[in-house]
Amino acid sequence: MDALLLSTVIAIPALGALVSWCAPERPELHKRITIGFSVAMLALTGILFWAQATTATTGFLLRERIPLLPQWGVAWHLGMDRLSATMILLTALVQFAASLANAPKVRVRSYHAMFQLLFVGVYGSFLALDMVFFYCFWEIMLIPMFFLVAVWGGDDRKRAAVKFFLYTMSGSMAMLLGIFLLNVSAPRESVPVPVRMEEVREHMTTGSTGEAILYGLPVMTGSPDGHQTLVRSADVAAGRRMPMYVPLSRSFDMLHWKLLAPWWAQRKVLGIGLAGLCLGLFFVGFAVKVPSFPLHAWLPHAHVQAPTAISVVLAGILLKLGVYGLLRVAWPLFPGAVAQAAPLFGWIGTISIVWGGLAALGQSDLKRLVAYSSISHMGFCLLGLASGTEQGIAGATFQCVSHGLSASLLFLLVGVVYDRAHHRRVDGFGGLAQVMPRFSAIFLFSALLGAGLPGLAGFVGELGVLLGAWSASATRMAGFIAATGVILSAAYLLWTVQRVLYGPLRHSEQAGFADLTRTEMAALLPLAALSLLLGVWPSLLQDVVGPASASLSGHMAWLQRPW
Amino acid sequence: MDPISLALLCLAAPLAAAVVGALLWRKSRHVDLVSIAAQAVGAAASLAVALGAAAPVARSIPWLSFPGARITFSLGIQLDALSVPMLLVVQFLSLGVLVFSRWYLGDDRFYGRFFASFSFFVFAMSMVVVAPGLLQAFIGWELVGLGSYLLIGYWHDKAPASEDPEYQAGKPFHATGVNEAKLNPAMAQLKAFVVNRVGDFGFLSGLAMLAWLVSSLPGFTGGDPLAWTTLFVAAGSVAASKVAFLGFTGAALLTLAGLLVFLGAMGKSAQFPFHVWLPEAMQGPTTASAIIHAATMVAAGVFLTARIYPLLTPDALVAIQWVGAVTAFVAATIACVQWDYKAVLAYSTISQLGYMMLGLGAGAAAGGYGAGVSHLYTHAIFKCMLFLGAASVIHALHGVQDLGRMGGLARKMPFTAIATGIGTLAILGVPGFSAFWSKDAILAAAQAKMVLAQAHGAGVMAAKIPWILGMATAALTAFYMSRQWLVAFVGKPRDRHLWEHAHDPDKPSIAVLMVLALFSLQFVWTGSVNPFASGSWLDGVLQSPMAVGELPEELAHHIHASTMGWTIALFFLGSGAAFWLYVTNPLRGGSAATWLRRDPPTNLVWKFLANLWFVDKALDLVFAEGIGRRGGELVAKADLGSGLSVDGTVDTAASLVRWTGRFANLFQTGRSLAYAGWTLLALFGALALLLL
Amino acid sequence: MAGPDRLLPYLAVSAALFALGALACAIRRNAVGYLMGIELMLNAANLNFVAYGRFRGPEAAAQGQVATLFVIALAAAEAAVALGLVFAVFRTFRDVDLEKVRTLHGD
Repeated sequence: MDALLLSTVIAIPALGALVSWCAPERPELHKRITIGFSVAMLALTGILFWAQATTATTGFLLRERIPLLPQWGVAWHLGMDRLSATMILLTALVQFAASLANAPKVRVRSYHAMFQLLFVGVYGSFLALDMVFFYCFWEIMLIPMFFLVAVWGGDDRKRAAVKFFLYTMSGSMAMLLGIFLLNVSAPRESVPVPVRMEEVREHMTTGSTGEAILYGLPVMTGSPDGHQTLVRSADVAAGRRMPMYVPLSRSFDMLHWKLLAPWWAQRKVLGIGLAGLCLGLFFVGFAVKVPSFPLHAWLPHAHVQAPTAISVVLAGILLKLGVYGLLRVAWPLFPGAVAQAAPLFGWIGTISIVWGGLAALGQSDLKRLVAYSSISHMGFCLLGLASGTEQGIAGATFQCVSHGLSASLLFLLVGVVYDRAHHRRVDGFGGLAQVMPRFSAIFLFSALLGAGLPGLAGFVGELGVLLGAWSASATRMAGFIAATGVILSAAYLLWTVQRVLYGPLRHSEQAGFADLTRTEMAALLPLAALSLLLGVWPSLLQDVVGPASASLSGHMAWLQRPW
Repeated sequence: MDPISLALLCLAAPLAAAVVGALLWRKSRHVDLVSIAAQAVGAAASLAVALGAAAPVARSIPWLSFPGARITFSLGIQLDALSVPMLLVVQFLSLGVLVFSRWYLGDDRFYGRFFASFSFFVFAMSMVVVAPGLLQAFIGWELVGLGSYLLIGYWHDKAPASEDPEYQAGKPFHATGVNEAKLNPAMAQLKAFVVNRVGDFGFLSGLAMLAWLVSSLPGFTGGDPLAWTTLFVAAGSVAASKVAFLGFTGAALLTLAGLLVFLGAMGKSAQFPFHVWLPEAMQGPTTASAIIHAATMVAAGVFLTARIYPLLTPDALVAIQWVGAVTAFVAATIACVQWDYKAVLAYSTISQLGYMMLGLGAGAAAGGYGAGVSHLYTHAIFKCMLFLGAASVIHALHGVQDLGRMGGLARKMPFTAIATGIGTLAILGVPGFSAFWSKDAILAAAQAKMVLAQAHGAGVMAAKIPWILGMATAALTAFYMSRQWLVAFVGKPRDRHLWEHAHDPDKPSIAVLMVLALFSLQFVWTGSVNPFASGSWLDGVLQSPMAVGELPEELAHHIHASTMGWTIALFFLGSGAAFWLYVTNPLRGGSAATWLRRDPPTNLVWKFLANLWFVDKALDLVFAEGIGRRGGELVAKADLGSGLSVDGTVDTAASLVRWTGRFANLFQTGRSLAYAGWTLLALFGALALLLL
Repeated sequence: MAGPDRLLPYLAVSAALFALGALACAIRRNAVGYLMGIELMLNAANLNFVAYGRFRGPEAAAQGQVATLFVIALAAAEAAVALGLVFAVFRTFRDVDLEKVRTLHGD
């Protein structure tokens, strides 16, 4: 039963897309279908997350692998570990919130079908453990996104959609080139590659005769070119120290590629180090999505032109895919190159933070302001990853979750305002707190969440990142400057609160605005409650993702030993 | 009940009241009683803790852990000599102010929200006070900032002063330093939060730096690197280590970390130049100012500095002392020319906070720790009372805050006059009142530091200037505080109509004022009726956490006596000047102040002071307008604008592709013969290449 | 046997024919005249094949003649198609002047 559970996670949105496509053109019906499917996903991912959280293992709780093209090493390989479980739960939450937001009333069939199809790509990307399928799901996200912006967006939607598509596509091309290079550089026949003992201990399974099996490969000990014997899993569990090897050959399996990291570190392509080159390619591919300066310029356009629900999905979950890609693919494969480039990555993160913050101060469109705040917040993730420390990586993961919640909140709120006023100019409001009290309360809450107030989820992520940045010498100075982000975020968010909510009511026609409806509250309150819960009790999440961060940090440290 | 559970009650009760109030304030006015009841519980619990606990006790629970790095940050409660009295002060003052606020806010349109915000604030402040480590202090710190934000912006629907007819009618003349277009509660709360955030940037950086330094020490075996005990023990090792950052190493690195954390204290305690938020925070209700801007929130910075005392290197302490001295002096000079009743108190608060930092910065050997902390306690009480007195006056005069329309109020509001009179005498450091004991201790500590510096032969100037500034400030304080009291309460009423209807507050509020007045008397603090006796029953509390050698007894006595002499002399000088200028008024046809304002060079001095040393304007120009507005617009344009921008570069790249396409298009003429010609040319060319 | 018994004259003639055909393709405005040019080029190639077949040995003879037959067949097929195109063009434009037929342009 659990063998195909992960495929179910991907299949349900696909089914939802099909159902939406076939259903008659009635907006209310479609809204119910979409909400229904998102509730189903929420339940499923919630159960999976709970199962993962209550297990002690750091490894993959669920894994399914169906070989498709064995001679090339391509298989239908899905896996869920602590990181993916968190991410798919976040995706389901954002899906739920976005499905409650106002959907367009024209061409409803296509809209809802595209909406569901988008999530097929998202869930697939989070669960895929085969590079080919990872890339496929990555690209599957692009097409619905393009249509969702281009058809149902704002006034300048076509340009924004094309820009988004081309930016992301170029990044994906770089990633594809990297995948190709790596596959070509993988060993032709099976070679023994050293593997970290903790890795074996965390992820191994036991074979029929008690030997340790790691991702379907036998673990061996002995010298690389001499005699080798199989390692018993009992010995590993008992903590016996010995050099361990796994035989690896050409494939597209992400887990095998992670084990090949020592191999990649020593290969050269056209005279350039393979690790550095591929890290650069992968980084470009993922950095477009994060989005980090200087590849971020598609985001303001896309966010402003997209309909509210799509902005929520874009900010809430698609940006996290960039960080996830770095965490799952780029960092584990090339730790040495990452360590060498850490100052650069750290500064890119810091520049994103400061640039995004300053740009947000200069915006007059509410949606664009929130878009730049997203760029600024995701800069923290990159800084945390660059530090390579456990605190930094854990902080980055936490920040992904907390920003997913806060960005969704802010975009939903901006959507509420736009619904009432039909414009998004910050200067076109004033004194709304007197007219829409519940809205104001949640708006202030979201602003404080974005500003990283302790007691709310945003603080924990930023704290972890800053602690990590200071602990690593490569990112120390960058971390110091990055902390000015707290000043900037308080400034632009609370200034917005002051301009929109406080002061006298500047436009008398706004006195008739309705406060939040039941649907809007149903979308906003769970997100707000979860942000508060995670802020007050961060162990709920940290105990789940902490060991994964520690594992990655340990993996990186192990591979930076001189070979 | 054990002390920890009692202290937990001090936090839980206000928090519960805040939640209840937040949910129900629109439905019922009685959330005020909920807050008061919760606060009574809290106050009783804190009293039980104070009377019960003898030895320091602490308990924490894990909050955020990083298993691989063996770091686990924890939250909890630590009750020791520093936190218990502070908790007591916070809880009891809050109770008093809450009772007073029932009368003061009366039937205000947002009535319940005040009590909810207030209770939240008390919760946050208590969290800072009982924090067992730097991280919880930071968390409570920011929540205190939120509480203050909510309280300052209480009347968030008010228009800016430039558009408010009520303000324009009642504004004090010479309110030149204020930018009226930006003066309303909403902008004041924003300014307070953002300026505090600048300090928090320092606090957070210092926090991360210390966490790194402590956890990277070889002796660190896991746990909370920011717990006070761990931090203080590690301080010595850090100072001796070889780790470097930005060229700082060893003790210099520890100085940097300490000063970064102190930056946070500068923000919260309104030290120069971060003081600019406090006068504008007067936009909130006066009773809110009584608690947050007089007694507790701004005191949190001083509290934190006292808490991290073992981390502060001598260099850091010198810097702290200078910051305090400059703050005290600058604020005192500005207060001399203020005509708004609350503005005088605001600048007075800033000045007294500077005094506390001056005291703390003098160092433990000079007795500075005890001096700073004792003034923290006494000032909390008498300043709270002075603000409540202000609330009483303003309420009586129907919102008028202009000193120029007051006068002779003592006849109509005797209890208020007595309370504020006692408060004024206290702040002046008159023998018999609380601050005579605490303020003198500060000036004595500054003098002792000077003496010690002379003995060591180093840093004499660095110790002398703060002492001189402190003395000058004492004189100025005597002047402006006497001026305020005399102008408001003595002499002929300047606005007869307002004076007619003035009256004292209701009985519970008067009771609060009288209790606070009692605690502004010296014997309550020293335990003896003789004002010139040294020593106090609080000496055990005020013992510095660092074991340092004391000054020789005789020298200490001599310094103390000389300071007393100076203080009394300066009191007569300052108050006498105020009395002469504002009561006896020897110059007919216009007060001396008018004469001072008219002719140079005094009118230049007056202009400088009335414009708040131009600090507000400068900071507004550079940061709010410069970096904030213009910088923001610049970056926004550099990012998304057409032409030379991040986005524009990509657009240009796209244009290149488009131009290449257009160029290629030039060959697509549609003329088949042209195509044929090109084909043949290519064919023959290829043939030629092949054959040659 | 009639005709020169060296290879070169035949090659020269076929080259000349090819050049003339190419010239016709390059210059003539009439579509049918253009097709004549193409036919000329094809038949020049044919002449080449046959000449080589005659002068290069017994196997070459068979190859040359077979190739020529191929080309003749292909030329016929191509002529059919091309004439069909010319008819279609004439139907649309009422003209077979290639200079006038230029709607399929780039911009």
